[in-house]
Amino acid sequence: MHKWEPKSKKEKYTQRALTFAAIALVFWSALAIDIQWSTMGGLSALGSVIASFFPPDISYVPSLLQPAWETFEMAVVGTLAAIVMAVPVALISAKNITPSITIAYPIGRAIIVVSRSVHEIIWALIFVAALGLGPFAGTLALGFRSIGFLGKLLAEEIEGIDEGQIEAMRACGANQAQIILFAVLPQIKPRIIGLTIYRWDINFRMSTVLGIVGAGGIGYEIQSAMQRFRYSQAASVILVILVLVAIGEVVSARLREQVT
Amino acid sequence: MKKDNKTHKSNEKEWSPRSTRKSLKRYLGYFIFAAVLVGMMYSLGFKFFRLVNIYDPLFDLFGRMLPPDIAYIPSNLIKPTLETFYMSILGTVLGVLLSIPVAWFAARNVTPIPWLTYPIGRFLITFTRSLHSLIWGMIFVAAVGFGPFPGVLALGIRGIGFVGKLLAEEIEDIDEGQVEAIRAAGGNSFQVLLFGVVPQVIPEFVGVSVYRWDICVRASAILGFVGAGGLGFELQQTMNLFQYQRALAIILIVVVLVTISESISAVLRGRVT
Amino acid sequence: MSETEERSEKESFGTVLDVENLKKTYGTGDEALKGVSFEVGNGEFVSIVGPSGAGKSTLIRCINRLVEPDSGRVFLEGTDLTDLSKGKLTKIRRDIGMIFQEFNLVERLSVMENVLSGRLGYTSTLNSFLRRFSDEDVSFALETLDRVGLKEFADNRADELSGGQRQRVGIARAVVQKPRIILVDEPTSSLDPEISRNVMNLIEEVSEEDNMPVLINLHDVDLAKDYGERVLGLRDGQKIFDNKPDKFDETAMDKLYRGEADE
Repeated sequence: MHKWEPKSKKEKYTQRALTFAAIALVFWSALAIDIQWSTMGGLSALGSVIASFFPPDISYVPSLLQPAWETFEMAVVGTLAAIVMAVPVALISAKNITPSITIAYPIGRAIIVVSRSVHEIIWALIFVAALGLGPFAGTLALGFRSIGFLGKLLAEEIEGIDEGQIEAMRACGANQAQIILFAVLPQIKPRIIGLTIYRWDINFRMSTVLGIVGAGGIGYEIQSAMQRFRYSQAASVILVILVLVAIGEVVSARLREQVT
Repeated sequence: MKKDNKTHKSNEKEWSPRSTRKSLKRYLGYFIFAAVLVGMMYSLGFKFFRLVNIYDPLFDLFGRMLPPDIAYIPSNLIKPTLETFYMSILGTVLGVLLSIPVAWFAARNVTPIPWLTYPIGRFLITFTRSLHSLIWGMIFVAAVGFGPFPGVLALGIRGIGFVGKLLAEEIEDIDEGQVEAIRAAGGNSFQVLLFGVVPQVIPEFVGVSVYRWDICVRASAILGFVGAGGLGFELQQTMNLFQYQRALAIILIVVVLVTISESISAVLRGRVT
Repeated sequence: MSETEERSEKESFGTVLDVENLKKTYGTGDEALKGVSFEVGNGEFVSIVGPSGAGKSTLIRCINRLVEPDSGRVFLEGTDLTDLSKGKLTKIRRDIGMIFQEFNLVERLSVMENVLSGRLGYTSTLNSFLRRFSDEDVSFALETLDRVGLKEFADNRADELSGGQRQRVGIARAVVQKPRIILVDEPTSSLDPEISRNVMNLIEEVSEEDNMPVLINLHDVDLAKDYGERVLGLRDGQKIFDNKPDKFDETAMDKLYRGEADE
């Protein structure tokens, strides 16, 4: 628990300064941002647009089942591909067991940073440009994006394990691979499973929008409906997405209960 | 992982990590899992040939992306970059402000009308979390037109789900004793909130807000794909026109922005919590 | 006599471990070992005692190079351990068993898997992954588990066992290596007095029955006097006592734990 306790004078001033800077930043952004208020319809236009979303066009739903299933598949395969790649990355990115702190460790950390900094849409763009449209590109995009997330957290987990077990394996003459198999992996196994499930949940949400850049999934449906101003159709896609996400949440919560 | 007692025989030399029956069950499970996985991969277009050959087209693409067209930055990208930045700030602020009442509703211990406001709060959080910020972007672009305004709105609404959830959890975690003390001293509900609850959650609140800003920077960079402002539009254009070197320049800016925001966020969160 | 000849002579006399002038200074400036030398012969049970910070733990770990000594040499039956490459060092660690203060078992694995991990040095990586150990290894592991009295627990997870039981698994793991010497680092510090005695008895049994040299760090001076045939006293990184337990009297203990009598 964190209590808001009075701090030293210096800390108080830094806090004040930061808060002031933050507020100033907000005002600056509000003023500097160039919003073309004139091109926007008034409130009445807004009202009629919102109204045209309701009621959602239910007859459209059957044609959404295949994209919805595709979205689900992308999340599953993408997450599994990611965890398979993330475990070795984590092993070389953990300070305590990396084979080489000068070469392997920076490489591992670089992979993690790159994977995390590039938005999944950008990954999808790259893969679509290189490999063509479709869910193949989208799944790879999800996978590559997830390596960083999983690798970072797994590396942290590895850095926190009981080193004594590693010591014991070294002492009895096990080679590096055996040390990892017997002293490291058993300790991080629960975390691997928990993180995979967690990441799958996140990827599930992400896979709903990759279709916007042609990388498969239900995202294409919603974009095309919006672009053609078929708002009630768009609403039904949104509905399907909401249901999908709800199912995904329930499934992942159940799975996590099973594991812990 | 349960072991069975089949292997506890005093004179037997036989031992295996698990009995044969359990082994079969395990292998069957693996097989089914693998079969389902392969089925999914196939329907996604994962042919072995394609998978093994991803590196050639990727390297080809990178070849065409390098060297990045840096000159494009001062000529065309300053405004979108700044716009992306401003969007991230305003989107965060909007989200944070909106999430305060929502979190208040969604926290079991402080929600004013438990049977009404708690479900409402929880629903708002779940609803706003379920849709990706790009989808919110599309909705708001349809509602108010193009530009950074719908982007800010989208980030704000999505922020309710993110900040609201964490804030509600934090509120539920507080030390009730302090709240009790204020109540016992005769404070009204507002004072109880202000002096009993708020001081306990402020550090975490600031931390979460900074974290939210970090996420907003990433999201702002691509909201332009649906017309909601920022660098996203430029990126979409350049990629569609096969101007890969310009696209790489944009991607680099995004990476730099994200790295900066992550470092700032890590530092600020380190100080507060 | 040349050095090699000297070594062969020592070997034929039954010297298993020959520690020569080990020195180790940590990065913090802490001079843990200032030149320690001694020998351990076949079947000898040698206790190391000394105040905290004397360098006992460092000494034990320098022998199998879990900690790298700065200078000095360690010979295991004539082979210079300090001179070995990483690959050869891994191989020769099979011949050195180690028992730890915190047991260092793999908590999530079964007792049997923990004991078998002592044979990892003799198992290929692939087979280790599949948990396929040779039949001889498996039966020897079961025998050893029986010897330490834990056969019924073979399939239990290691973290289901009590402290004393876990240490016995640790002992089994070391024995299963069929080592030339067993190093022990304060095996009883985490255990109750009665359980400690049980564990010490077990270690002594192994040493006697297998004619196994044992080098054991002890915090408890009484244990050092009751078990074993030789006591090494370490203080401030230096060996200042090396004799039989009955010679380890009040004066010697004072000198070891409190420094020079006329300080």
